[in-house]
Amino acid sequence: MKTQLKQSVDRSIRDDEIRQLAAEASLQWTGTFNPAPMTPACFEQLYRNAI
Amino acid sequence: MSVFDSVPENPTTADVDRCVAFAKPESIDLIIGLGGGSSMDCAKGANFLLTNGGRMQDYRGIGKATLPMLPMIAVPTTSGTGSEAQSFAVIADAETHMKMACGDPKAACRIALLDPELTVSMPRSVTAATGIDAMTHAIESYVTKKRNTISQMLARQAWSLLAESFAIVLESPANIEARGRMQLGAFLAGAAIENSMLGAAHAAANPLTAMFGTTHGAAVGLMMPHVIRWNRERVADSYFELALTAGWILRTRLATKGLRFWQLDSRSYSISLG
Repeated sequence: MKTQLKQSVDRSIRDDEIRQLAAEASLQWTGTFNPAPMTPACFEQLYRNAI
Repeated sequence: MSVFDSVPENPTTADVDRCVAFAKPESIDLIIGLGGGSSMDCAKGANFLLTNGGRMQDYRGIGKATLPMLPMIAVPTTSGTGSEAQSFAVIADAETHMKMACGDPKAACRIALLDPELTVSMPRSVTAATGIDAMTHAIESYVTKKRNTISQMLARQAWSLLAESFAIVLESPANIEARGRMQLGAFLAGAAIENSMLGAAHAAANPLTAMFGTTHGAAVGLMMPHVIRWNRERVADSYFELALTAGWILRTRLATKGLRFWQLDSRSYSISLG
């Protein structure tokens, strides 16, 4: 099983895609229950860490 | 009895609509959700529309159904989703592909039949992906803002069963005792979610599935270690408790740093601290 985002997607991820992913993740209800507050910027950093 | 067996992975509002169109003329009085999370969630979603009308989007959130719902029996054939223990149907919007959690106490299954023999024939990749999903359910529900004594008890017991058995079912798929522990662990993790919800790993995973088609279990497994790192300053003690519960050997000097690394591949998984 892939442990890095770029492996999972099988190509590099564009900046605009990361921003879109982050925007959509921040709208997910489950994120509001995370112990650390999650903003779109937090999710963007999380995705960049996963790449 | 009428059988609707056209549920794809990550069912959408259109799939629920098709299920409703199939079931409505049959005047059914009981629903049996047989399969993985997608099948059970689609059945649960259809229950909303059959009994309360409208469209799936109307039930996003909790407690939007005003009329009684049909009794439902869940029969899971994977050990991951935990849908059999929840009052939520997770359905993707057919247009945006974003997942919606639609919950109502009336949608909860009256009975969940856990038969580990039904999970033995799962392909290895499905065993891995669903098992990882269940483990992330236990981890996330253990640390959420809504966590409480009940949810943590359920999540810890789930985690114990899953951590003990995951490697066994990957190596010995026919081990029925380990399959049973995985199934019960997935159920208990689902019950934990019902009490304390999930966290950022699932929030980050769902857009990956929507944008790239990444399998749900792979997506949450990919994001979980990064979320653990992100959260560790707030809930390091809770992560440490889970590591202890799993019986993993820990070096004291690393205990305060929290989980930093979770590696998953097709043959094994490991979690280390440091």
